[in-house]
Amino acid sequence: MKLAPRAREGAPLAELTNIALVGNPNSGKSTLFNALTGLRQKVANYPGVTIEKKIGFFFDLHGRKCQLIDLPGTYSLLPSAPDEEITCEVLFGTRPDTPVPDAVICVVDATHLERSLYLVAQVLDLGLPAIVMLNMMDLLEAGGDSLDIAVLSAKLGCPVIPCQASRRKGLVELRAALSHELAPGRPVCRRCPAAVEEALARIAGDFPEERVERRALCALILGAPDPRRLAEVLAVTHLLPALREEQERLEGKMPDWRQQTIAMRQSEIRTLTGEVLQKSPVIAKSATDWLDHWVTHPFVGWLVFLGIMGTMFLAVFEVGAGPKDAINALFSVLSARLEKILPAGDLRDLLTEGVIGGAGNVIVFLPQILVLFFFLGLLEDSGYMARAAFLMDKVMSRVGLQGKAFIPLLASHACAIPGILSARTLSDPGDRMVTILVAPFASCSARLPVYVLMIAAFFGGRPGAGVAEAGIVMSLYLLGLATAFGFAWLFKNSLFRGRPAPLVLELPPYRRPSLRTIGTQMLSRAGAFLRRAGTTIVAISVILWWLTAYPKVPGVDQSAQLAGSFAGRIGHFIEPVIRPLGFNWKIGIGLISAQAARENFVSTIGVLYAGKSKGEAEPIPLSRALLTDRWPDGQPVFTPLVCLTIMLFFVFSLQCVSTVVAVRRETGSWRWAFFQFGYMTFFAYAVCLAVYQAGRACGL
Amino acid sequence: MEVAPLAFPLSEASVGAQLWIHSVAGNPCERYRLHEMGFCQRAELVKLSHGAMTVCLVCGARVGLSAAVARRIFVTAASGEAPESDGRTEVDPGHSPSSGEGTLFCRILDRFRRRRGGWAK
Repeated sequence: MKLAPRAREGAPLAELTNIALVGNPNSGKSTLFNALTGLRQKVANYPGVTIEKKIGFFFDLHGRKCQLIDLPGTYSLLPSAPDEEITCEVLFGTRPDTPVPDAVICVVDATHLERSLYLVAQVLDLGLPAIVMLNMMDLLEAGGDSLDIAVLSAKLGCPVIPCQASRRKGLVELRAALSHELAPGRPVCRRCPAAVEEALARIAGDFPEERVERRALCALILGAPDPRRLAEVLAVTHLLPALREEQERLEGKMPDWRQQTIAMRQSEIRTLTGEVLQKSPVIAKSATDWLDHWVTHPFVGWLVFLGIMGTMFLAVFEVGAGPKDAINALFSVLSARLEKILPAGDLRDLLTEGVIGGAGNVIVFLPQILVLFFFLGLLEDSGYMARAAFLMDKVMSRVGLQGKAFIPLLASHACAIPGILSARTLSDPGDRMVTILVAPFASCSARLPVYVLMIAAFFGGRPGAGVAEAGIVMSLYLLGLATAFGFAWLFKNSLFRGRPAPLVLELPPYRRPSLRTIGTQMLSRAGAFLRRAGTTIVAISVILWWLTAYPKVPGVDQSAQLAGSFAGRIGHFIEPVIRPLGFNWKIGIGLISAQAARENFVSTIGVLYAGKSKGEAEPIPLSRALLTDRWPDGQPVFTPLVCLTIMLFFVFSLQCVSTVVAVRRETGSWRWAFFQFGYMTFFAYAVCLAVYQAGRACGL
Repeated sequence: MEVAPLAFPLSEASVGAQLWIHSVAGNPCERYRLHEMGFCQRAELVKLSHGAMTVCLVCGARVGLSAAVARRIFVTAASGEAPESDGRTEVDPGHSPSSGEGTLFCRILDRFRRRRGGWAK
């Protein structure tokens, strides 16, 4: 392991390349990263958005290229969760896939100076060259406070630059600072109780020579209540017996030595903050306090939460319906034109039934998905997410999870994969595993097209059903969450016993959501959705069209051709398994293709039912085409009960290969990934079987 | 080890109160992280709100705590200088205030205050 020797020898930083961005959660690291590199790393107004390192490049004032590493936020260099471990590994230079940083940019929320300086002090102790970026200076000044930056810079022994990353202020000064010589900063507070000093002196010599400031590392690992984790990060597990011996000796001499050590450090930081920060004498109750009172109120808070969710789903239908119909009409016109232009044959069928009937039927849902992302963006950017976590804490603690686990669950409503990744912010390994195992129950945006299609078939195109449709979708989302809670309780009381970790979360102030940030994220999501529709879904639609079109059986009608095709044979093969759920072979084919991605169900059904619209003069919407399908006895296939059963199957089952791979990566084992796939599929089947058979028994 | 006579859980402090942190109960890892976040002995704290979460101002930052955590942080009323360390910084979990006598006391006191307000009219 190397210690950025060039930097420590005082070489100009312009010659250095690797710069790490560190700071407390929600201090604006990713905003600064985006401003410097021009990338679009996700930003939001709640702690724990960045859960893995991101790398970008920028140029200093001399045009020299620098590599910038954005790291997950942490309050301390003693990691308590997997995302914080990444930050510590990069700073200590023990991460094999990341270069040792030559310098560190410490991003500090100027409004939380005292809190942030604790981490800055730890970074300076490591002996790494550092620049402190005081972000959100506008908010500090708006609050009537003032900061003596020159004194702070002198005390820390490193450049301190005021900035406002969201408005790109302070970037030129940062680039200029990076072009000058930069020596390691001055350790701010290294005082420890005498007994701790003695212990450090005894063990520091055993640490490898090339470490970043051995004493700082020793102090960190000695103070750790469980030094094993950090010892593994630092690859010094052989020193564990000596460390534990020193810890026991200290316990005997001074039972609260850890707290005293931290208290001494914080006392020095408090003194330093007092010297540089002029606080406004008035501590008035802010709008944030007033809002917090209501949004976390035990009763009103829930009304607000349900109101927000209800508005979101109503908007999905009311706002998204118009553009959806417009896109649908566009594809219908396109399909009709192609039928007129191209001669009858395989090419025409491939384009109209395969490509437009498949991928086109998925793309029409894009506006509704974007409305969903717009609302999720509002929640993330306003600061409400952290409050929602507290609101849910009581419910979560009943099932054995901490309230913080609600953030991954809420993030899973966009897509399960970022939700599963954000479980890294949970400190307890058991909580993290349980959250990963239940996160896919949260209805992701890929399920939305299935819900919308089935609800349209359920209501048979009746006008004015918007509120009822929104109510059903909201119920499905809440059902997914309730099931997640139920299984979390089961797992916490069987596989992962233990009490929930306490919820402590720094609360970001409420901010007016940035439409630019939300728009950027919506564009990014729309791009990803269209890419998937244009590649995977088109490919699967084309393959499926081929499976439905071949082998050709001359002289039979379209229905017999479909039944005799490869797809028909596969469908009929699996039909006995799904028939008890009320599903015919076509739905079965849809379920198989949905294993790759849930949206494929809609595209598959679109291809399979494309022929149904041919009897009409004009192409008809897919939801109406579904209603024309009949069982051999003349009964309709898509009854309201079957539509409900299909929706329930999609609420409960895990049909996403990418999610399975993500779970394998996060848990480090295929065993858990297959377990999750197995239990969710089995549960979905069992529930659907019970609902359908009960419905039939009731004459539905 | 025991709680100082005047120390009470943060959950029972009134909103707007300025407090000194006396001690933190819980397992060592949780306590360590809370200490690092500023909840260490003699640190000043202002309780801002109390609902589904307890919000307090510590180290200049607004921190939300679940009800369970707020019950584990023991505070004393801030008056004059910060209290000196008395060497009794850890709380025996066996003495954690789960019996609710403090809550009962606050509720009785609260009702008493409301009634008194009613009589005045």
